[in-house]
Order: sequence, then C-alpha cells, then structure tokens
Amino acid sequence: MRTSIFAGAAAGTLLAAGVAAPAFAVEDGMAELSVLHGVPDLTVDVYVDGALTLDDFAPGDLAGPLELAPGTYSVAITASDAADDSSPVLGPIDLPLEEGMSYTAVAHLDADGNPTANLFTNDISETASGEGRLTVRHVAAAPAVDVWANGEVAFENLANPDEVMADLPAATYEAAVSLTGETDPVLGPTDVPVTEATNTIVYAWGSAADGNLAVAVQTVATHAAMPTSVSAGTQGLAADSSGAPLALIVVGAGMVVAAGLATRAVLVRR
Amino acid sequence: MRTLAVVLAATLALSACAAAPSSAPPSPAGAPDAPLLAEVQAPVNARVVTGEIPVASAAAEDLAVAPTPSGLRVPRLEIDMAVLGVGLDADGGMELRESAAEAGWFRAGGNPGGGLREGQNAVIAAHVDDGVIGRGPFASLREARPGDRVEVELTDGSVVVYQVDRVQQTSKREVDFSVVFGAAEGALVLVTCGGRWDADVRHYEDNVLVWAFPEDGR
Repeated sequence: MRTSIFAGAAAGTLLAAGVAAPAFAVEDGMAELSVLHGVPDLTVDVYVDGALTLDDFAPGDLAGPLELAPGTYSVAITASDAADDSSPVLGPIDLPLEEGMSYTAVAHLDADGNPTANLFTNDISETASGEGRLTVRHVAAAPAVDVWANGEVAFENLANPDEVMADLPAATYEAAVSLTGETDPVLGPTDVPVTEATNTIVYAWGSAADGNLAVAVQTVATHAAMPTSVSAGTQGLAADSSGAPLALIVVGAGMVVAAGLATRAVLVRR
Repeated sequence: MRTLAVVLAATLALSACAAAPSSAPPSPAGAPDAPLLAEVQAPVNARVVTGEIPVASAAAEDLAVAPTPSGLRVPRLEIDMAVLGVGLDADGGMELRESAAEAGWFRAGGNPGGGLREGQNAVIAAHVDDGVIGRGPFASLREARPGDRVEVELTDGSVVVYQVDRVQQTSKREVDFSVVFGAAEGALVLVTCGGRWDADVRHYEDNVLVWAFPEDGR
C-alpha cells in the first residue's frame, strides 16, 4: 500500500479554493494571465484579438504574467512565419478572464499527441503562514502518472490535462514522475522549491513516444494574511521615563528577581 | 499554585509587548498591489495587448528563487544583526525572534531580494528588549535620522542599501499595518516597540517605525 503524504492537505486546499482572501496577489480590478508553450518542436506566433502579441514563441517558454482588464480574449496560435492569424495551427480559442483571478493558458499535446490548448486557473487563495502551494499539471502526450515527492507518492494517477495541488510547509521537495503504478521515474527527480505564499506550478509536458518529456515550472504569488500588530518588546527597558520604574528595578535585580516580581504580579492579579 | 504562577509569569513575559487583539481586517481590498508587472505595464488599448511581454524559459533548472534577508546593519547606530524569516504568531501579529539580538523578516511581504512581491514594502522587526540581553540593538532605532545608511545582506551574499527617510513613533492602536506590510512603496520598514511601558499589561504603548527607501532607486 503506497501512501500519499499530501492527500489530506490536497482535500483541504480544494475545499478552500476560490475563497476571496485579503492580499495583493493580483492588481485590483485586473486579471493576470501567463502563457506557457508546451508543444515540442514548434515555434509559433500568438495573436490576441487579432494582434500579434508573442513573436517566435519557443517550446518550454513562459510569457507573462500580464495584467489584463477582465473580459474574454480570443487567442490564435500560428506558425512563426504566418503573416496574420487567418490560418491558425491552434485556436482561435476564447479565454474568459475574471477580475482578481490568475490564469495560465497552456498550448500543449493531448494524451494522444495532438496539439491542444487549455486555460488553467491558478489557485491564489490565501496560504497559511509558513506554507506554500504546489500544483502539478499533466500536459504531456503520455499515460496517466504518479507524482512523487521526497520518495513517496504524493498524487496518484494524474491524467492529461488534469491538475492536482496541495498546501505544504515551505521547503524544497524532490519531485519525480512515474507512470501510474510504477516506480521508475520518467521525469526527475527534480528539486522543486515551495516558498511561502507562492503557488509553484509544475508541468509535465512533451511526448513520451518522442522521448522529449520535460518539466516546466511557474510561480505565482498567492494571497497571504498580513500582520495586524507588531509586539516588539518584553521588559520595559527601553521605555520613555514615565513608564519605567518597574523596568528599572528589573534591570538592577536581574533575572531571578525579575521572575519573582512577575510571579508576585500574577498572584496579585489573580 | 506557585508553580503554576511562575509558568504564567513566563508566558506573560514572552507575550509582554502584546497589543490587545485587533479587530481590524488584515488588509483592505483597496490596498495597492505588489507590482507583479512593475517593468511590464503593457498598455491595454481596446483590450489588445501590446508592448513588452516578458518571456523566459520555464525549465525547472532555470527557476530562480530570490535571495532573502540574512543580515541587517545600520552603521551609525551600531546595529549589526542576523535576520531570519518569520510568519504570523497565534494572534495574527508578526512573529518575532525570541532574542532581541535577532531580527525577523516577514516572509509573505516584500523581499529586498526581489521575487514575486518585488516592490511591496519589506518589514524587518525585532524586540526592543528581552529578559536575557536587556535592551536590544533596535532600542536605538528611534535615534535614526533621515539619510542614515541601512544595509540588508541577502542569502546570496549581496547587499541592498537603503536610506532612512523618516522615523515614526505611533500608538499601536493607530499604526496602519495594512500600509506598513501591504503598500507597494518599495520601502524597507524597521519596526520595534517604544513609548511608555504599561506595567499592568506588560507592553509598550507605541510602535517605532523607521521608513527607508532604496539608495539606488530600485
């Protein structure tokens, strides 16, 4: 029985996804869009609403993030020598972008090796203090896979074009990908840093049949709670004069007496 | 009973300068955003994207993780401290290093080393005193003057230099922490406690904040 060290965390994350949180991950009133090119051996041009937006966009490259006004954008992908977007190799597809959300549009292969495109929503909901988020997306022409972290199966049976995610203590994880139920990695192991208040998004892309599977990584800032106070003193030793007498006594008397005074104060207060 | 009281006393001492739990929201929805696109700002014209769009390799081995603060120096005030990353404490306040000899950098805010939140204010705080060393280096923060040099050493060995712009001493109830931590001003804010010591609740009444900005305008 293989265990999933992230199973519980993943369930919690999915429940929490989509909750509006206070913070600063996407500019007010805007949507954030990145574009990942995950189709091997095909340099392309990207047109947005008919305008050439990315020229000679190469496989494995990530463009953005762009801050865009919310709305629906039409994206067409053409060969890199095309004069316009009249003969796209992919699309045009509509990308509906909502305010305050983060997206990654990915051009990639489907499980059978045909070019396709998907608009993923990046979960930027609030992460707990000390934690970051790890997302894994299968966008490769390959069967379903297991995703390993630090030598254990973290996510089982992930298929193209699905994603899984979990919130984890901030740390660097050794990630690897095997075919479902197998142990030999087809990708990795690769070090993946999960940092606080950041969604680290890992893509398995390329083609198993063509031997060009690869790992791409993107990071986006998540929402995070900001402190409501800073309580930065414990003894009164740096006080302005009016509040200092007890503190001065403590200075003269040292730690043992200080503990005694504090004890007495507590007893009196009780 | 006495044993219990001593334990309570120790607990009180650790949370001493604790302000009353604030009911203020962590940050207003209208606060400015970290400039995720500080250098980009592609003009949006009739929803057609133009201008420079950053394109970079997404290969796992090319992922750059920004260095983080590891040291803080204010030479004129003879402040020279280790800096370690901190998060939130149980009350939603900023976690602090137990020793006043060490400073804490708030990890989920701005980072002098750059990264996804480049441009958001970076906050480094330390206890003004503790029960072991007495007054800590940050006890002299309130003597900072405009123009003082502040150096933040990063984990990659590089140093980011700031200049003090102003020193602010404000009642804790009136400090707007959503601005201190959330505004995209590119400031480095050094925070400690000061003012009157309230012996009844064992905390200082004020926060001392030193606002500094990058020397090279970065």
